[in-house]
Amino acid sequence: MMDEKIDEKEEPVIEIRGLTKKYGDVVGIKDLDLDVYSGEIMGFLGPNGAGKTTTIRACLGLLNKTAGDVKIFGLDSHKDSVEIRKKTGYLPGDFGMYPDMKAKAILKYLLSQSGISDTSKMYELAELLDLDLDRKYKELSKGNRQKVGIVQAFMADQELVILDEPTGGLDPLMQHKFYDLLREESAKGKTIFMSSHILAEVEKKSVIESL
Amino acid sequence: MKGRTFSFELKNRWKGLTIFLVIVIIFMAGYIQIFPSISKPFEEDLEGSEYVDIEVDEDAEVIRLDWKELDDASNYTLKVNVVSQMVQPIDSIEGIQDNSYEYPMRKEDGEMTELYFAVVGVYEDSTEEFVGMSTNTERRNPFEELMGFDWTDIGDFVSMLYDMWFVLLVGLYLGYISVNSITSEFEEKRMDILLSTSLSRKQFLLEKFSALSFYTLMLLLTTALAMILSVYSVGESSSLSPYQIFLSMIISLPLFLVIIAFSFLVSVRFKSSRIAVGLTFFFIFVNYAVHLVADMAETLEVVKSYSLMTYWDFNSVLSDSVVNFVDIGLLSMIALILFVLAVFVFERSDIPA
Repeated sequence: MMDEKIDEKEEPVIEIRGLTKKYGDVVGIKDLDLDVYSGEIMGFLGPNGAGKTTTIRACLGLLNKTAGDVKIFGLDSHKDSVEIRKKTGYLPGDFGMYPDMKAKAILKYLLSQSGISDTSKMYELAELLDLDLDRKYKELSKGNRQKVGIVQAFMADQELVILDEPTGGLDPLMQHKFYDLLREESAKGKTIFMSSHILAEVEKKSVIESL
Repeated sequence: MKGRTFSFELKNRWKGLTIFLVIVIIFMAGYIQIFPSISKPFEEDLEGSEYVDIEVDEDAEVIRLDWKELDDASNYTLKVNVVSQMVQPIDSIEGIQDNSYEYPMRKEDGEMTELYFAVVGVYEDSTEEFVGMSTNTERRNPFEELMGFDWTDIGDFVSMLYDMWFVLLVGLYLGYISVNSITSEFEEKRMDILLSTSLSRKQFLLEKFSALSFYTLMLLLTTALAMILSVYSVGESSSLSPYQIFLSMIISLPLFLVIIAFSFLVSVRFKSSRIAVGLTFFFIFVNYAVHLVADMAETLEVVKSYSLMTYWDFNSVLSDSVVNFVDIGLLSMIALILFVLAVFVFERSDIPA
C-alpha cells in the first residue's frame, strides 16, 4: 500500500489503522492503513477483489471489522455510524431502488430519511447530469440509474462523500460532467473518497494491492 | 428521520395490503352469511329429537336415563361409550321397550367413569331414528357431544372459522409480507443506501415492525366491523355480541405480532426470502399442527402448552366474553423478545454488498 503527500499536522477525516476483514477463512482486506484529509479527492485504486468495496463499507459501518480501527470525523465507524452517516453521502458500487417509483420520489424519500426538506440541490444535480426525474426507476437505463445514485450521494450536501466505482455505466461525456462535479464539490471544501480504476479521476491516490 | 420508514412501508404496499384486507373481509363476513343455511337442518333435527335426560343416583349407583318417546317406534337401542364419537360402543343394549333405562354406574379408582349415552329408536321395518344423546359430564348438547362443537350456535360456528382458517390465512400472509419487507431490501440491493442515511438499524426494524403491526390492527378492526354487520344481517346479534367479536379480534393481535417478529428475526439472520419464508411458514404450521393434534387427546395436554396458538384464547371471548390477560401478556412478551433478538442480530451482522 502506498500513500502520497499526507499532511500530518491536520486531523484526517478518514483514519484507518490495521483494518482487517475476514469472511470465514477468506481475507477481504488485511492490515490496511489509510488517511484521507479534509477537502481531498482521494482515489482508492486496486484490482478486482483487492478489498476496495470492503474498505468503503467498513467505513460506513455496513461491515464488522475483524481487526483494526476505522475513524471518520474522529468517530468509531461502527459504534457511531449513525452520527457519521449524518455527515456522509454514499454511492454503493451496486445498488437498487424501488422499481415502480419515480426517480424524484426515491430521491425525496432518501432526503427525508436524512431529515432534509430542501430539494434544490437534488434538482440542480439532476439538471447537470441530464437526468429525467419523472421516469420510474425500472424504466431507466443503467447509466441513468447510476446518475440517480450520484445525485443521492451529493444532494444532502454532506461534508464527506464516499463513492464506490462512481463512473460505471456513464458515457464519456457524462463522465466529464461527473469529474467537473467532483472538482466543484472539492472546491467547496468537501472530502471525496472513491474507489476507481481511472487514475485521472483522482487528485490523490492510494493503491491497494491484491491480497 | 423518524416515521418516514413507517409511512413509506404502508404507502409503498398499500395496493397489496388493501386487496388482502378486502379478501379477509369478504371471507369472514361471507362465512357468517352461510350460517343460517348450515344451522337450520341441525335445528330441525334438534326440534325432532329431545335431549336425553340424565340423572345420576349415587346411592343406587345407577344412571337413570329418560328420553322422549318416538311415535311408532317399536323399541329402542341404547349405546354406551367412554368417548362421544360412538365408533365402537363399550355396551349396546337392544330391544328396550320403555322410554327409560337405568344403567349401572361404572367406577374407576372410586371415581365415576364419564360415559356417553346415545338413544336410537327402532321401527317395525328395522329403520332407525336418532333420539338424542347425553352424558354424565357437564356437556349436554348432542351435537357438541358428537362433533366437539354446536353447529346451531353462531359462537361455535365463528370459533371454528378462527381456529381453522383465519389464523392460517392472516398468519401466512403476514409472515410472507413481513419477510418480504426486510429481505427485499437485501435482495434488491437497497439496504446499503437505506442504511447510509441517518436511519439506524434499530429504527429501521422498529418502523417496519410498527407499520406492519398498525396494518394488522386495522385489518382486525375492519374485519371485526364487517363481521358485526354480517352477524346483524343474519339476525344473530343476540347470540354473538359486537363486543365479543371486537374483543376476539383485538386479542388476536399479540399472536400476529409474534409471527411478524419471528419473520423479522429469520429475515435479518438469513437475508434470503426463500429461507426466511420457509422458516416462517414452518413455524406457523408446526404451532398450528401441535395445537390441533394436542387438542384431540387429553393425554397431549402438556404438548399443547408448547404451541403458541394455545395462548390465543378466542374461545373464552366468544363463549363467555372473558379475556385471558395472562395469555395475552405471554404472547406479547414473546413478540417483544423475538423483536429484540431481531434487532440484536441485525445490529451485529454484515450487510451483504
